[in-house]
Amino acid sequence: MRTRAVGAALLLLLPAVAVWVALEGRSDEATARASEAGGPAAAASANTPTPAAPATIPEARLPPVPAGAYCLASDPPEHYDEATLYEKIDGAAPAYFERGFRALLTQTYAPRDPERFGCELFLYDMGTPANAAAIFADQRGAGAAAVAVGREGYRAGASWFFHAERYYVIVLNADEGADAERFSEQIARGVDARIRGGAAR
Amino acid sequence: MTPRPGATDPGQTEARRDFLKRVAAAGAILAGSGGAALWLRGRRPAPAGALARLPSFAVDLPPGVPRMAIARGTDARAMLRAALDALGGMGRFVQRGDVVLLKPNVAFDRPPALGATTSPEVVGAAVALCREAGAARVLVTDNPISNPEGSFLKSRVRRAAEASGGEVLLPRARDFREIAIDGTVLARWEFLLEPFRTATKVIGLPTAKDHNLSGASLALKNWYGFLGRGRNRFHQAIDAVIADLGALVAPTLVVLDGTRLLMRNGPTGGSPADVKPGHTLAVGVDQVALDAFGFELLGKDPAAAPYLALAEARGLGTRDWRSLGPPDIRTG
Repeated sequence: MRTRAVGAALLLLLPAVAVWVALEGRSDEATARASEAGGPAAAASANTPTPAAPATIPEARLPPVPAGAYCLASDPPEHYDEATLYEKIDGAAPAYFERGFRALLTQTYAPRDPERFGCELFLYDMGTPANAAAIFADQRGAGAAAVAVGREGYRAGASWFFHAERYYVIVLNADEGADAERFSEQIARGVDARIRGGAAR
Repeated sequence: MTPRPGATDPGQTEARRDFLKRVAAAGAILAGSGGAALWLRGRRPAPAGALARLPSFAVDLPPGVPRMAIARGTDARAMLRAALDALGGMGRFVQRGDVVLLKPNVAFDRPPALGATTSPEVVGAAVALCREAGAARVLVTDNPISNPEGSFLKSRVRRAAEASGGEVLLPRARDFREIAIDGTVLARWEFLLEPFRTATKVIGLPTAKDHNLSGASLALKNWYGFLGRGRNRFHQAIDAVIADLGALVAPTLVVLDGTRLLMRNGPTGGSPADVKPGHTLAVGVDQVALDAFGFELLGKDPAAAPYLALAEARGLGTRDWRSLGPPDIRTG
């Protein structure tokens, strides 16, 4: 009887060890992943019981694609949050973090002429209008041409920049020509309208 | 018959012996499985000594040959040729049959006009001069932040490299291996090692651009592009990591592309207004000197760059680039 009791106790210890090992391993993996995603701060937060869901920008903020020199790229819109912003802008990310960055939504527009580069929309959610104005001011260069879109809009070549509500908007377009400039303007005005429409709702 | 007091029943003895055997066996299994599980969970990579190390690709320059030269102008190939001639020509660095690995900065899928990537004209010129010097193959690679195919396409680096006889190697997962770095921050890391297996010479082709964290991205920072997974975590110790990489990679030559200068909002840029024409190339074998020169091209003080101080303290070169007496050539 005693033999069986001791044997059973020992056998029960085996799954207990397995469970402990599995839990420890999972904890280590979570810490490593969090660390890889966002450094020590993120690694520390991996132990937080109920982490907040990453912020995302609704794709309804994206404007319709105007007919013209570009079309919607086959790549879907891309979403980035605090843990993944490095994957898009690498060492530029900390400047956004300092200004309250919450999320980034990008959309690529492919050129119909393969000799051209294409156009890309960056829609940064900075959390508050003040933060959006601050990162906009940080990055604004001297001598840019003012345009009437969003707040304090300006353009450089065919690229457009403005802030509206809590968003910092860049329509990045390095192509030359009137059709490239017209397309960027239509995208800029379209996203501005979507932002203001969303705010009204 | 009743057993004598103190005497042992043979059956009982047998049972106790069997019991002890079972306990010992179960204990051995328990200890073995627990130990094996712990070993599997806590298994650490091989010690750094067992990892691959990057060889030096540096060449010895004869006495009297400057370690750096500058060329100014508008034609990238003419500038590169003129600057290299001051160091003895490309033939001093690349010989017939060499397999040359070129490392431009192709970190982002951005057009050349935004200044975030090495100018395609400079990449094309470097490939052409390597081929002219007799290189059997000229490999061009980087591990971009953005999609590699899109980055090499949109930066026009692929087109320029291939048009001049180079081969673009887009990094694949299997091209990375953990190597020993033995730095102050980096002991080991995944590295784009595969191209180094065939390369006999390595030439850095950084672009001169502003960087939000290190002040500038130039020759030493360019080696970041060889690092694999999760390299963004090093941004918190970026100065020491850049110095570590400078100690790790001993290139044959570095060509600093100052034809376009991303003056602000680096490393990505984002507006043509952030870029100004530089009309300058610098070549050399002293990466610290080239970076100090690059800081000045960007209108910054190299003395304020912590990574340059670290690199100089580690004997990787001098921040006093003028002390090298570099020829400064105008090519028209």
